[in-house]
Amino acid sequence: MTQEPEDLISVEIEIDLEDIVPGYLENRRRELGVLNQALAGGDFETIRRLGHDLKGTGGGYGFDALSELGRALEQAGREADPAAAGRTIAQIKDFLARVRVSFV
Amino acid sequence: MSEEILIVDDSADSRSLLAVILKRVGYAVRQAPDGPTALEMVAQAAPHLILLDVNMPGWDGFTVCARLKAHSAWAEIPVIFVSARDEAADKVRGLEIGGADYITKPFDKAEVLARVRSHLKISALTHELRQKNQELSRKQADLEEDLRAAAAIQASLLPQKLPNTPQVELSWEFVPCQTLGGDIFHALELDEGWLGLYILDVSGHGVPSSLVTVSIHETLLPHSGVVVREAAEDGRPLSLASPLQVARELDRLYPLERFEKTFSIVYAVLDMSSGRFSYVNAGHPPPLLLRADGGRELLRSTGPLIGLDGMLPFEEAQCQLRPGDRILLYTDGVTDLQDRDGGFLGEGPFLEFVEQVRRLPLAAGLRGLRQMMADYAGGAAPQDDISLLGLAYWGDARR
Repeated sequence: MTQEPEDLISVEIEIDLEDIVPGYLENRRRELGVLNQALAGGDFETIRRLGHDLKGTGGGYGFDALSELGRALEQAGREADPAAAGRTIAQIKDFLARVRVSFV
Repeated sequence: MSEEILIVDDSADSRSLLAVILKRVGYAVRQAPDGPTALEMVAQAAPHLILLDVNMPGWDGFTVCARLKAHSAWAEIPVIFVSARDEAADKVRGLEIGGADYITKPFDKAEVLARVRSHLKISALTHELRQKNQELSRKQADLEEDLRAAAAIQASLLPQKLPNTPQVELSWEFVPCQTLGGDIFHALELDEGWLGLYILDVSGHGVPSSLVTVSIHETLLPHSGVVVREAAEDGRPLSLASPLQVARELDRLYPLERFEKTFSIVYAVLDMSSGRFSYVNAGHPPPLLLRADGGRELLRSTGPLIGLDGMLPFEEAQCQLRPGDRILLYTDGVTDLQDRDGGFLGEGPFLEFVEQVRRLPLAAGLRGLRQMMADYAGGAAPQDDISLLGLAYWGDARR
């Protein structure tokens, strides 16, 4: 079967970014560990900063959803809200697991 | 397109993204992960534009920008802030410390490119404008140098050596205006016992007026055939033209159409032994005849300006000089002299100045007049040339 599983998220990105997008997503997956560690340690400043960065880069790379999640994460960090931060980190992890990029 | 853009951002992902976007359309790109590195790179080779993140560890973008702007060599490099901080206050601050623009992340690629392009263009045009201004300043300096040189040439035509006769004493003062003026005067012995003298003022200022002045000066030299002629008339010695003939000839030689200039002139011939002073005053301020007994006469205009094609006839007038009498010729730079408040000296006050110096020796009197006028102008350079030509007639009294 060539049909995509329903739970995958398809994102089309300009071919120009083909070289840098895989690395970008890989960096985000690696960042999940840092985020979870920060959450466990109550380091909301790191959560705020990484959320801020994610907000800034996500949309530029073509992942508007990541910018939105970054915005939520930055706010959770600023408000030192562990529940919201945990929820958002889980959403980021879920997005990264399901995203499939095709370059056009 | 070979403009170089420096991307300053602590996030490698952000730098990579901007670098790809910019390189794709042909820009050269360098990257710095922090402020100090950025300043080092700028010092090595200034980029055409800087994209600068705000949130960075160590120096933030505002600090980096302020340091760049404090450096005169780098202050003109356009800086565009690129930041996920989207508060209006951040944008205002960025622009206030010298940023050219502020783009919020996440950004639209087309918007980034459009802003980069427009600021590169503004920067290039500004640079070009500055160069053109420098070029203009240089040209202006050259022109001013030429004007000074022309003024020196014009001044060199003023009488270097005046006729030295027992019957007549001559002296002059000349104060050039800031720009080139149109005054000139001369006195020379045309023939044994005959003195010719003139003072003239060509309309306008600057190089054209000055060149016309030089031309008229040449025309009035004895060898050019205008003031010294072959034919005999009016009982004068064979070779001398009368003031009336000189005025008519000048009017023929210098019609308005020729140089778009008119001029006023007093041309006079003095029979040094008899004291007979014949003159034409073509629209010129009236020479003063200062009698030895204290009387004063104004030798008013006897004809129109030269160059109006004989619109009105010229007339010649005479007066009889007696030992101790003086003639003072001057140009309207004297009466039009302005004080610091823009007021004009005028004829009345000038005549009062003259009364104060008329008993002094001729040269000292003219120097005194010059000083009084300088005091009146309050140290400012005159708007027009100031020319004073004085003649003291002694006849045979000093023989």
